[in-house]
Amino acid sequence: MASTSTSTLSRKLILKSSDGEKFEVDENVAMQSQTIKHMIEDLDDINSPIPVSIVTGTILSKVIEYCKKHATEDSDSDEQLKQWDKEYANNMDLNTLYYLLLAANYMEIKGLLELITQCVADMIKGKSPEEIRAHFNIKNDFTPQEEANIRNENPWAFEN
Amino acid sequence: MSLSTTNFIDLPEECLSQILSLTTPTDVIRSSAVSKQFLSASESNFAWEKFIPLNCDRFIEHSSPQLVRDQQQQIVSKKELYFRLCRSPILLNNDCSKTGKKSYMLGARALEIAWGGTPQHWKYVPESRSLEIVELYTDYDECCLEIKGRIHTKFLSPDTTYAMYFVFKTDADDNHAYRFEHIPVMVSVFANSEEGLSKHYNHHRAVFKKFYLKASGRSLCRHPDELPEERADGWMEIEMGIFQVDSSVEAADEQMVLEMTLNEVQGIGWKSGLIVRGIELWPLIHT
Repeated sequence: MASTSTSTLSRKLILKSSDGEKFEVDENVAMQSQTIKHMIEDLDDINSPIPVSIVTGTILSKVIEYCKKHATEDSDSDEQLKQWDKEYANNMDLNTLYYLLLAANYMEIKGLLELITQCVADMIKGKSPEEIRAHFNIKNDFTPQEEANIRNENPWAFEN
Repeated sequence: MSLSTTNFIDLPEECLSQILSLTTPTDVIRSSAVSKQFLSASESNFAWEKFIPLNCDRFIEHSSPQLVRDQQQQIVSKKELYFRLCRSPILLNNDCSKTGKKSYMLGARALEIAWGGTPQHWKYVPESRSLEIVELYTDYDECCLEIKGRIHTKFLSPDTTYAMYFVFKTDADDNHAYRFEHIPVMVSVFANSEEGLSKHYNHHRAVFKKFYLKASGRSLCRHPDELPEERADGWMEIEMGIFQVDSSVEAADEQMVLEMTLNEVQGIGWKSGLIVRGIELWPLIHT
């Protein structure tokens, strides 16, 4: 979590998305990303924009929204923060979730990664393979024989 | 961006494995039939690790190395270990410092259950603490209830008296679970060698005890000895019997198996709503 000590009083950093959009953020917000943290350590000029190469501006703004919320620690209780996380994730469509997941994985933001993976896991729970494919728009790349073999290994899992 | 451009197949495998690790064992198995990418993630150690009790592999490696390694002595995958644990006796308490005695649980998958292979009758459900439980959930009138647990006596602590418990629940939401108030069951424990009842243990007579799986609501008062006891964790238990491990006999017969059986006495009768967690073996400590 972010530090509130006065010594690190809000240095500003500029993050640059893959499509060239620039975001000015407080250092403690950006530092939640391990990837950016490491980049800053190697950076000579703190004022030059930091490229977040695989993340688009639309997604990066959502990532920053999450990091900002989690950087201001004292205002919310754990319970409120959980509620905020839940609403944040529920407001994303599947497409956005997918790109957020890639971004959180690339930027190494542990909390965000856990939030999104849990959200996707909850979508998978209780679904049949057909329902999972339909929900996530996944193509079945097995031959009928291959699929039958997998099902026959553990038939109990495919009942109902 | 339209939804159709989303393709979860492009997710890095570690992401997908992490997602699967947050579902349940049944979901992971189901998802293996979705696509090749899902299949690969569903086989990863990362996906299964969370379903295996914490730090248990090192402990199992020590106590039952045959579970952790395959025939080539290679460490098995976490998925394989999960299934092996479901089907084998599990050492229950790691804390041997107090007693030095081993306790075991034979989980639902490790039991032999009559008609257990027919999903119309018995359904296996993942449950974190005991890995899996089994529910009797539809009509079961063609046949008798019969549940059997077997364990090699060589796995038990020598010169120790064990008590065996059948651990179960009756489903409060099941309208037919009340039938267990009227169905007596017999429990028994005896040692068996390859040729049948062990000659070495012939001084141990097989003990049969009668029980009712459910206390009766009203008029029919059962003797307290014929009823299960509720444990602190919410499960019910029946003491199936007591068995004394004699190290001299054990040394003479490597293949000796302790057999614990629960049988319906009269059989034939409509029943459902029995949830079985397993059979536990606890050393009796005389203080």
